[in-house]
Amino acid sequence: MIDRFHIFVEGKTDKVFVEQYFYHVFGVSIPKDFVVPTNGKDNRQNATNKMKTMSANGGKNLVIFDADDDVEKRRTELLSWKEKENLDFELFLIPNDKEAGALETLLENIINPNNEPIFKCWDKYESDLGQLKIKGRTTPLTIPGKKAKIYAYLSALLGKSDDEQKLAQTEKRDYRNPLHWNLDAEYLEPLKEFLKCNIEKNE
Amino acid sequence: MDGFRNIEIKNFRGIDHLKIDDFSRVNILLGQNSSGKSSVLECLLLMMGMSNPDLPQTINSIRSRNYSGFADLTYIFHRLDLKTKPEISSELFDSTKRHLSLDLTYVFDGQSQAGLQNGQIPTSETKTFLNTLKMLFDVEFGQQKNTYECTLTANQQGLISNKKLAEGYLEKNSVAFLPADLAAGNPVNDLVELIKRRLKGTVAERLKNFDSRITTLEILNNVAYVGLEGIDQLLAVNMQGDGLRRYLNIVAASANPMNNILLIDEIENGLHYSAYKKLWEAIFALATTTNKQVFVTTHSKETLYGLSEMLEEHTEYQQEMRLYTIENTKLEGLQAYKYTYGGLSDACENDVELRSIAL
Repeated sequence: MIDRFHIFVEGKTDKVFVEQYFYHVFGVSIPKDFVVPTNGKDNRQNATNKMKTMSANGGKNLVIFDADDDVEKRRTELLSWKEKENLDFELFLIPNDKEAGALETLLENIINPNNEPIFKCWDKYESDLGQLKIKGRTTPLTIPGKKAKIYAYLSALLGKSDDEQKLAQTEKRDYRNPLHWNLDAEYLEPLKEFLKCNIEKNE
Repeated sequence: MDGFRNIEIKNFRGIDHLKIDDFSRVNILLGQNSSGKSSVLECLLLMMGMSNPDLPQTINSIRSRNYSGFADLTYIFHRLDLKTKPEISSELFDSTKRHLSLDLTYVFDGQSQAGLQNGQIPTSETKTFLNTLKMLFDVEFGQQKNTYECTLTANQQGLISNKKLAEGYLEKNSVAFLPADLAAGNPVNDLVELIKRRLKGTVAERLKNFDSRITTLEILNNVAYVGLEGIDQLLAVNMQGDGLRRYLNIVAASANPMNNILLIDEIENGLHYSAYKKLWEAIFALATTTNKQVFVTTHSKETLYGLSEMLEEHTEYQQEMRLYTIENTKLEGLQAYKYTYGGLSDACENDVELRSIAL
């Protein structure tokens, strides 16, 4: 494994997932501060400076950002930032570098298959909610987003105590718990390939 | 505001080359040990004291915390190589440009290596002694460029035998330098100046933020004293903890309107992290009132958190802050990376380590 690199992610939620997935792939913990969250008020000033520093030290920069609604539009936007700031980085767009989406899209696709009924139940809840009419309300009800779906999925699987329920929160999740997640899912292959290809040393 | 817009340093101590751009009112230099932060402060001091040939020895004495002799001036030269002259250039906010270079020359014992002329660099076999420090500098304004020179000459015993000041040059800037060494600071001169101008209250008020029990601040026989609630006698500040001394030194220097440049090395020294936010607030407020430019070095993450918190509340100071991480990179040498308030705030919010990681 190369010893000098940064992985830039959008927020702390992504950092938690990437750190744990890194351990799953490489069998070692990623050093503290190697995964850098970049969300904030200023347009990626931290990321820009940290990337320049890493490149000046002969290290590698990986960017793992959300694809959002349009993967190619997002790729173009990030590559134009790369060019404008004269940065050097490899890019992967979550969930799988092909489809639109974000971390929750990826998580939806890597649950333990035994837990599929929970999602079916959620689908029914969404569908019913879409058809519900509330007396005195003129606008349709809002269908909760994917973040709520993942939270509800974990919340249902965890115990009732406050301590257990806290583990559904984004920064406290344990993605390596095989009862909840399948980090060997085929859906993760593109991300695994991206990490291995860039972080493993070419002997 | 008077002061520096940028600085470029070549061949000064550990710095082979470093350029820092876009300074603002309060500028913070963050970096690992030996990254060159303190050397940048020394260069800023030299640039505002170009006409003073004692200054290079003074910065050596501050650094060594002891008297530093003439021969030690070699330490100012990168890799101790006297052939590569230290050079410093700056643009100032008043649209002038300054350039300073230092030169140390030899006198040699002609018997051991005949044929050498004074000023030539001899071989190691030659018996020599350092003789003259020359400070060559120029000030440029538009098309006009004025060149000056001042020198310091030592005799064979290393004692100063002659000093020549730069003729026709008058320095309008005044710099205060607070070293990292806590024992070195003395606020009395600043406080006397403030008392004369009936401005002592500005400092006394700020001290209450450090310790709410402080009721008065006095100078007696060249010693600063504070009065504490519930204690009948005044207490000498130099007999108090490091924190109060450091806080007072910084606040008094910030409040003194006679200095238009303030340099603070390792601001965190002696201070508990809970004091940082109020200290930053005092520095920004007093620097604004006295139209001062401030340069600060630090290793401390907590000082940055205190700074970010203060700036979040005082939006009026956000544009006045620059943070530079000084990195000694493997491929590109020394580099300064600039952060504005947005970058600092994001880093603190996301708990991003701005100091370089061990590589």
